[in-house]
Amino acid sequence: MIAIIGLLVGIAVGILWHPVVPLWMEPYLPIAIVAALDAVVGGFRALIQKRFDDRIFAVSFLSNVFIAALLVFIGDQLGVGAQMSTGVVVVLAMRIFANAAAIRRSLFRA
Amino acid sequence: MTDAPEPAAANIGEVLRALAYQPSRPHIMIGALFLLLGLLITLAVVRPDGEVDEWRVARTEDLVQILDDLGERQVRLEAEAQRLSEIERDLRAGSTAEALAEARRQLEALRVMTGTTPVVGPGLEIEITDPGDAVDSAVLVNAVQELRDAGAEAIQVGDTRVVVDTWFADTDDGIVVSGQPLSDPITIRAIGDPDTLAAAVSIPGGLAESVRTRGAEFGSATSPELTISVTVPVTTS
Repeated sequence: MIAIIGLLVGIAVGILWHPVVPLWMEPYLPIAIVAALDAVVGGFRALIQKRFDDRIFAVSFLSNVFIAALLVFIGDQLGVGAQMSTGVVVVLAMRIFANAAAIRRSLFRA
Repeated sequence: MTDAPEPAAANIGEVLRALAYQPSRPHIMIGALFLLLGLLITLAVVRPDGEVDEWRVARTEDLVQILDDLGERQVRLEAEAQRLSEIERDLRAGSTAEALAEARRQLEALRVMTGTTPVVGPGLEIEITDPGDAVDSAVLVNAVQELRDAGAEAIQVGDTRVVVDTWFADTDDGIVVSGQPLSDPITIRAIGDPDTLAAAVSIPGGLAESVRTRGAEFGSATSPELTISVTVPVTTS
């Protein structure tokens, strides 16, 4: 419940306040979102399987975002920023699919 | 996957219970993280007003392409400006032969434009077979516009020379061009650079596509020598 409220408040703040994203941060934004989504789907899976722990969730959320951004940063420095972004997104998307499949299996047994 | 069984009611109940489940620690952290996520998504999706989104999301190659096109256009326009200012200089210098040649050239161009003279030259011939009357006058107006944009000097639709006051209308018996009914198949002839004209009608969303999506047949052939013999009578007022 608090998750949905937080999400809505975040969206509302984003729309109303509308901070300008610094240019250097721009490439990391989508990566950070996908990484956070990965953590959220993972958390949801844990919730369904009754082993959710909010400390683990918070740590995985932040470390996911941080590591994804760090990877892209390193990629940028090495001159392969675009490829690294693609790689990170692909891996995270695969994890999201895997977690979604696990959720589906435990929910629908299918 | 596709034949996933209907979720049992008990399972939905389990999910709702899981969602309402209260962890032992305060919930603030999770709320804050989701707030952050919402904020990030909003920042990434919503753009401040006035920014050209098209260019922001365009790929580098596309931007390079656009830049190249603009550069080419600039070069072309500069050449055109140069040519015109040369003509201006010659005319001001008062060379009669020069002025006469220029006047003749303009006369010829105006004759072609107003459709008072037959035109022979390279061009594109289009045939639209449309037994179901799916093509309406708007398609033809767009076609004429596209051909003109592509540099067509003279255009003929059916048996009508397209000039400045040509009009298209839809009637119960089909399309009418400046009062003359248009018979099927519709032929369009355009004099101009054949490759440019062919490219102009076959671009995505262009004439060929809009005709085909309406279920009519589209055919076009470039020709090194195409004749537009229909002229409009000269009227003086």
